[in-house]
Amino acid sequence: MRKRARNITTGYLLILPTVLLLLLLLVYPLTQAVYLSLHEIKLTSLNQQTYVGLRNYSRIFSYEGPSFFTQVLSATFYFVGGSIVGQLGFGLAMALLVNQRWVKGKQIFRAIFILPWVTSAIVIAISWRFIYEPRLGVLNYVLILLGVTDLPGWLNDLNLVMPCLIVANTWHGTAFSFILQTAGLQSIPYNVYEAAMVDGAGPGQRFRYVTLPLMRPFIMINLVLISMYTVNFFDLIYAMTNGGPLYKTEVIAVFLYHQAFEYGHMGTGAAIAVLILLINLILTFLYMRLTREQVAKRK
Amino acid sequence: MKVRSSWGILTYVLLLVWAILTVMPLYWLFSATFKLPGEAMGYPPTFFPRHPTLRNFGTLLFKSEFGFKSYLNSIVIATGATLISTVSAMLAGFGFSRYRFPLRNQIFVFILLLQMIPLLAVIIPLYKLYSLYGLYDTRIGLMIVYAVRTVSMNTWLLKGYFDTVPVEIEEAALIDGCSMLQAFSRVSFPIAAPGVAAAAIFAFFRSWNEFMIAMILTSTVRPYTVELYRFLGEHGEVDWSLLGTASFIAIVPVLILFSFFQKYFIIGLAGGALKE
Repeated sequence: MRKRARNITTGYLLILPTVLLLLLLLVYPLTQAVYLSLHEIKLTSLNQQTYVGLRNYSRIFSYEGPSFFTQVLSATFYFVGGSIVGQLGFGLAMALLVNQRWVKGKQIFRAIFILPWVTSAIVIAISWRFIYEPRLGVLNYVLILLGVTDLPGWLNDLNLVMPCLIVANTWHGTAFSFILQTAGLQSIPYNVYEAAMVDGAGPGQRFRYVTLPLMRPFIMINLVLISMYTVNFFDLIYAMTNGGPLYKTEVIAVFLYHQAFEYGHMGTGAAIAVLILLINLILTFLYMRLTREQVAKRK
Repeated sequence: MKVRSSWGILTYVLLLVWAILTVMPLYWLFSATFKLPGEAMGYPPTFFPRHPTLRNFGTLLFKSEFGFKSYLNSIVIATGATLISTVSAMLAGFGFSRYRFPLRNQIFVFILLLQMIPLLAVIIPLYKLYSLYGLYDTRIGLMIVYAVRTVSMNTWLLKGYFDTVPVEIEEAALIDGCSMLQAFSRVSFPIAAPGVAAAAIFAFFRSWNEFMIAMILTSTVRPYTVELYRFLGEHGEVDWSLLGTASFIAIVPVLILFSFFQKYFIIGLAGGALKE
C-alpha cells in the first residue's frame, strides 16, 4: 500500500514541470483572454481596465477600416482557401510521384522538398519580396525578356497581392503536406496493389480504386491541419505586406496585431483572439472526428 | 512492376521542376550574399555572382547595425527553450508511461488538446503578464514561452517511445541492484534516445524560427528573426546583399541540423500530425 502511494506521488512529480508550464503560460492566459475581451484596456496603461460587456465585440463587427466581414474575414478565407488548394495539390502530387517504387534518388528529392518547411517565415518573406520587387525583382526581369511592356507591381497591385502571398505560402507549406501524404502512402501495404494487378487493374484504375479511397482520411486530416495553421499564420503576411495595400491582405491574425499593438486597444484585440480561438475549436473538433474515424477504420 | 518509359521520363521531369522551384527563391536570395552590393541591386540581375566575394559577411557582422548580437540571443533562447521543453517532456513522458495515478488519462488528453491552442490567441494576456511580472524583454521569458509551444507534442512523442521499452527490462535492472534513476539512465533512456533527439530537434528549430512572440515580447534582447524584419523595414532603400547575408547566416545552423538529422526532423513533423 505504501509503495502504491509513493508511486502516485512520483507520477505527479514527473508530470509537474510540463503541467505547470502549460497552466501558467497557456491555460491561465486563455482565461485572461476571455476576461480581457469584456474590458476596455489600453496598451499604455495595462493596470486600468473597465468592464464594458460585449462592446469590444460589437466594435469589431461594426468596424469600418477594415470592415470585419467583407474585408478581414474574406481576406482570411481567400488566403486559407488558396493555400489549401496549392499546398494539398502540390504536396499530394509530389508525394505520389516520389513514392512510386522505381523512382531513384527518393532521399535527395525528399530532403530538397522539405527545405521550405524548416526555413524561418521571415527569411521566406524576404526572399519572396526580393522576387516580387518591381524594379530589381527577377520576376519582372523575366517578363521583360519575354517582351512584356506593361509590368505589374505584384505586392503593390490590389488584385495580384493575395495570389502573390498564396504562391509564397504554397511554396512554404507544400512541404508539410508532402510529408503527411508520404506517411499516408507508406501506410498502404504493397500487396493491396498486387491484388489489384492480379485482378487486372491498370495504373489509372489502381489509383482511382485503391490509392484514393485509402488516402482519403490523410487528405481530410491534412486539409484541417492546413486550415488551422494558416488561420493562425501571422509572420509571412505581416513581413510581406503588413495587411496592405488598402486592407487587401488584412487577415484576422494581422488585424489582431494592429488593433492590440498598433492602436493600443488591448480589449478589442482580446475579443479578436477569442474569435480566433472559436475558429480553432471548430477545426480541432473536426480534426478529432477525422482521426477517430481513421483509427476506427484500422481496427 | 513494368513502367512505360514515357511516364518514367515525365515523373523525373516533374520532380526536377519542383526541386528547382523549391530551391530557386532561396538560391536567389543567398546568391546576393556573395555579390557586391552594386551587382546585387544592379540591372540586369545576374544568376551567378560575377565576382564572388565574402565581404558582405564582414560588413554585416562588424560594420552594420545588424551585428551578431541577435544571433547570440537566438542561440541562447533556442537552446534554453530546447532544454526546458525536452527535459520536461522526458519526465512527463516517462511519468505517463510508467506510473498509474488518478486522472492520468484525462490529464494526458488535456495536454494534447492544449497543443491545438495557438499562441496568437493568448499573446495579449501574455504581454500583460510579462509586463507586470518583469518577464518582458528577457531571454528566460522567451525560453519558457517557446518551450510551451513544443512541450505537449514532445510529451506525447516521448511517452510513445517509453511505451516501447518493456517494463521487464527495467525491473530486471532494479533486481540487479540499480536504483530507479540508474534504471532510467542506463536502460530506458538509451532505448528512447531517438525520440529524445527528435524532440530536441523539433523544439530547437521551432524556437529558432519563431518571430511573432519575440517581436511582441522583446525590445532589446531580440532574436535574429525580429532583427531581420527590422532590417527589412527600416531602410527606405533595401540593401539586398546584406539582407541575403543575414538570412544566409540564420539558415545555416538549421540546414546543418537538417542534413545530419533528417530522419528525426520527419519524426517530429509527421508525428505531430498523425497522433491518435
